Amino acid sequence: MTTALHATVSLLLIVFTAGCATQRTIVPSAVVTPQRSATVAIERTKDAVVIGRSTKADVRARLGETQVIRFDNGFEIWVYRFSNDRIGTGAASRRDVRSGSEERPDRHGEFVILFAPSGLVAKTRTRPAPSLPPRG
Amino acid sequence: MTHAAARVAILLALLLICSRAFAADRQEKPAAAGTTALPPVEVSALRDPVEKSYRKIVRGMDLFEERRARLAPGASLRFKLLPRHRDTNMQGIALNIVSDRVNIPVPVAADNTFTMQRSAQALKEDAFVVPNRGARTMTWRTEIRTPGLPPNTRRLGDLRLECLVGMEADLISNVRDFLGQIIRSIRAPGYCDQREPHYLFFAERPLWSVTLVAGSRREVLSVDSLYAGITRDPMTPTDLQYCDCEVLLDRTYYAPLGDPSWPNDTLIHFEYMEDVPASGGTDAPVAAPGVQSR
Repeated sequence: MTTALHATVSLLLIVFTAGCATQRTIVPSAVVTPQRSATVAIERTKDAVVIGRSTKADVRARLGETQVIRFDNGFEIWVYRFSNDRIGTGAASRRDVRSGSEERPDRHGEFVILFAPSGLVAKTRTRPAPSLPPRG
Repeated sequence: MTHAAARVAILLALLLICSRAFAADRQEKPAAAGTTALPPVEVSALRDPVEKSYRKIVRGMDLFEERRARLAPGASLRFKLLPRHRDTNMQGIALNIVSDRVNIPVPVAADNTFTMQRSAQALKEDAFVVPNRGARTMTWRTEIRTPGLPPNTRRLGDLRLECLVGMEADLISNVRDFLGQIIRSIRAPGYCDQREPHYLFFAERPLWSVTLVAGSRREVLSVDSLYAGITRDPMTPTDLQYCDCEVLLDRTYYAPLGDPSWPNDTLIHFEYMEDVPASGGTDAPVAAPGVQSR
């Protein structure tokens, strides 16, 4: 009797658990692929992109595949990190050690591209590695 | 026998929990493709509303009064409701402070912000603040704004106070039910004083760039501080269900709240994915260093 009850409850649990896992279909508002962005030399990003003209294929050919965020509004953001621009010397290094964030990717400079839903580059942003706050 | 009964009891408890989740999801599930869309129906009493503790909200209001002089002396405190689903009806939300003998309507403005009145009776009865929307359909935030700021900007001191009050009032809801409660209870003290706490702020429109400006110092936030940090910690669709940012991901950013090198008067400039034409009545976003705009 106990075994039969146990089996029945287990079966119901499996059915309802499956319902929990699949009942709500989520259409993500953004998808990011792959998990890591490409690193490029800062010089390669100069004149690599023309706003309003460069296509995704153009950028891929110049800078390579990288991390992409695809938003459900049709915009895409492509992220490149600079291989030769990061905090790592002098006072900057001391600050990083204190915060325990020496290896954080946001300590690197980055080149970010916004593609409009049309597929053309709408904006770009070059962010150097963060500067130090003024002393005093 | 006792052991078997205990196992059955555990399984039944799990079944009950799952059934509740199933019922909640049924409330929120959007219409399937191909079905006829019906006009939204206002439900005056929901079984599982997205309610908040009145006592905790009042504690947040007390903290606002306590800290405002240092962080945001010219600002006022409002609360704000934000959607978590695409199909959440954000028009005409009714909000009430409710307990056994208290039912106080709270007027909600057209932008879904509101202020909370103080009621000794509601405090005594441990009332809840209850909107007529289901659980996980909305999230709550504080709205602390210093008047007279330039367009497309926020002030860092205001955001610092928003985080403090929001955490004190227990407004965030981007946590998994059981484990999340434990994590939240652990991280609550001093959470907003961390260098860059993962307290989500929401801009008015999809964000392209966020720049901190304090005097002559300017710094563009890393892309890792935008979009709920998904470039650093990618989220699966399942993760997204537990994030306040579920449908507002493109508007989210983190701020360096605990970085003392940025003063409270630091201005945070936003540039959006789509620029609003000057004829639209809104000033163009402030261009940040290193940013090209079409």
